[in-house]
Amino acid sequence: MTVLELTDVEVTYQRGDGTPVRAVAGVSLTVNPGEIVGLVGETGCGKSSLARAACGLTPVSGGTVSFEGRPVRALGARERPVEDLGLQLVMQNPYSSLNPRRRVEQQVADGMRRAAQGRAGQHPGPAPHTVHELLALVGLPSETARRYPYQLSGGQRQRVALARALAAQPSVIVLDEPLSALDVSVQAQVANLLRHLADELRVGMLLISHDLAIVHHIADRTAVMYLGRLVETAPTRELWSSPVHPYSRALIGAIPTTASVGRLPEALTGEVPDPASPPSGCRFHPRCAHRMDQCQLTEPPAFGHGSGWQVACWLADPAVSSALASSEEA
Amino acid sequence: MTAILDVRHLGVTVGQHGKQDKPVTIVDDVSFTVSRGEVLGLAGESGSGKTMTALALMGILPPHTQTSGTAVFDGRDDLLALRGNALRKVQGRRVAMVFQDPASSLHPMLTVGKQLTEHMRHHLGLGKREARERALDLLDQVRIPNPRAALGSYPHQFSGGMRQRIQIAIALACDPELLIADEPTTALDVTIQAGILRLLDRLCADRGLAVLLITHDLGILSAIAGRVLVMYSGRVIESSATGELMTGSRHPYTRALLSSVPHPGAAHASLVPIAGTPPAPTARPPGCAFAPRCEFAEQACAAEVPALTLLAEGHACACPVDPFLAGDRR
Repeated sequence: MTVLELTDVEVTYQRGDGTPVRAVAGVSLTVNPGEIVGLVGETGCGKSSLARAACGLTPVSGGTVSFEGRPVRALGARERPVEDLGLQLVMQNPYSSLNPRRRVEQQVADGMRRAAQGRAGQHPGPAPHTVHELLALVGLPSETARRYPYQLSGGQRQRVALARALAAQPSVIVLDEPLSALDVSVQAQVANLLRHLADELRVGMLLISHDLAIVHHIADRTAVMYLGRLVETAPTRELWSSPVHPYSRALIGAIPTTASVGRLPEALTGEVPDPASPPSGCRFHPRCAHRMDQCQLTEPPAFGHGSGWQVACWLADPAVSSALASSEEA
Repeated sequence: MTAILDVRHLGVTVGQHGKQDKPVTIVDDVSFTVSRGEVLGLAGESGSGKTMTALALMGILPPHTQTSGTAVFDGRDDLLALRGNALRKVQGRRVAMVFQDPASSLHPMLTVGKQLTEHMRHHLGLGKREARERALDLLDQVRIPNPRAALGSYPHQFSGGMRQRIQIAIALACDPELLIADEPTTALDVTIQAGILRLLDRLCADRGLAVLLITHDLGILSAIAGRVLVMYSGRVIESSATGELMTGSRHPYTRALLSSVPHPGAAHASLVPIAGTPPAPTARPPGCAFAPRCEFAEQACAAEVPALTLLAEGHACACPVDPFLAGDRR
């Protein structure tokens, strides 16, 4: 059963001069219990807008977001409905997302109290019951409960932010760049923790990151976003070993790894275009090495490329690929 | 290749604020050379002393710090001893630095053109028009679209990636012989990062630029660095050619660091985080600073600071136990 379902979601902002900018231009994505879905893409591709729309922090201008079968409404002046508590967000910067003037236990307990009012029993996995259990779950000693955020390191704070999200017994956590403020060895600890929580508590996660290596490591499925659209969604392992969309290939080819000493990563030519005036047809065509006439005219739909694998590129169109194959033979 | 920079026994200490206590050692006995056309990598976690090493070489350490040792630049000037005019002749002209965060190292109220030409006119004695021509050329080299318009723009009008590339253009403006780059691509997308690594590589090959590249990302060092020094708690614990370090490192810390980064061949295998945290410089244990976190630690490790010993040509390691002597024991 899908817990979080985004259908044709659009997010539009107004620029200062009144020009509308479609930061997210029609994205469909699902998250299942216990599944980590990675969302990768360059700065400015709309990942964070999508994350905010997915938890109702930003209103959608088109499409729907549904959580456990109910539509998620954008946050307004009213208190958030208790049913939506199961949809939690962990932000990038644990230095600004925790309240500096309250102890860890107070901040974590808030979520528990509200969860007890409404959501008890709906949690898909075994529920932790006390602040100390929650802290233990994220690998923090119980003394942490009495501390203030300034007394903790970055990695510890991000664990507190996670514990606070888990306090509401969520079925989905949206994580917006949860590891980028942390040191390498600490990143590994938190990445392992996320995988463990997804497996043990059956929490679904939408993991947004520009650190492709981490997404590769812990996500079950990965969606690649470019200029407001998903260009490829695939099982992570398959995506990494044989990406189909030219943009996915460029993105993965640009990662330097310790396995390839002395080989410079491939650079993608050109700049990300202005989302206010995206290119015609396929949004990636001005930077694509494989562009055809068709690409400048018509935007490719998402073609199926195997189980759970979708590619929005004309190269993946069965008609085009068979035509290419026959022209190569001739 | 001739050494452009010869650093011997560099030490940096900080007098504790408001206390009469013994000063705290931040960088301890660091020695290395950088040759023309070479990229030397300096790896380590935050707090390992990488950045302080760079700041000491640039002569821009914060107040209340003292340096010891020598850093001879181009066989003549000791960068640590230069003051006043003599320092200004080298700093920014023959030795340039790129910082991690372009948002705080660019001046927010001066145009890019001003920041890009000011030091060129001062150091190289260029006229207004010549400096402008050179600035356009530099912006083109770092792939800033529409360089003419960029010269009249302010830093806030650019994205983070573009700001970082502008900062690199500023550093390269006076055609330096040595570039000290402190995490130059950490804030950037992999696609942009790939472009910058290629640019640095080209400058090394074409103009014999020497680069001291400071980063925690071992993937980047694999791609571009010829040799790598690994620092831990203010000391160099291993140094070797990049290929040998990635496949046959001998220090337990280097090994642990390598297994805490995601590896493309090993998706979904749990990352191995390093237990514990690095010691604070005020509470460094006697002997090897890594010993409390090291699974191979013996009594000898706590007795005295292990010396960096040459294991083979170009490969030095500071570990008295040397558990990986006969290849990989894990």
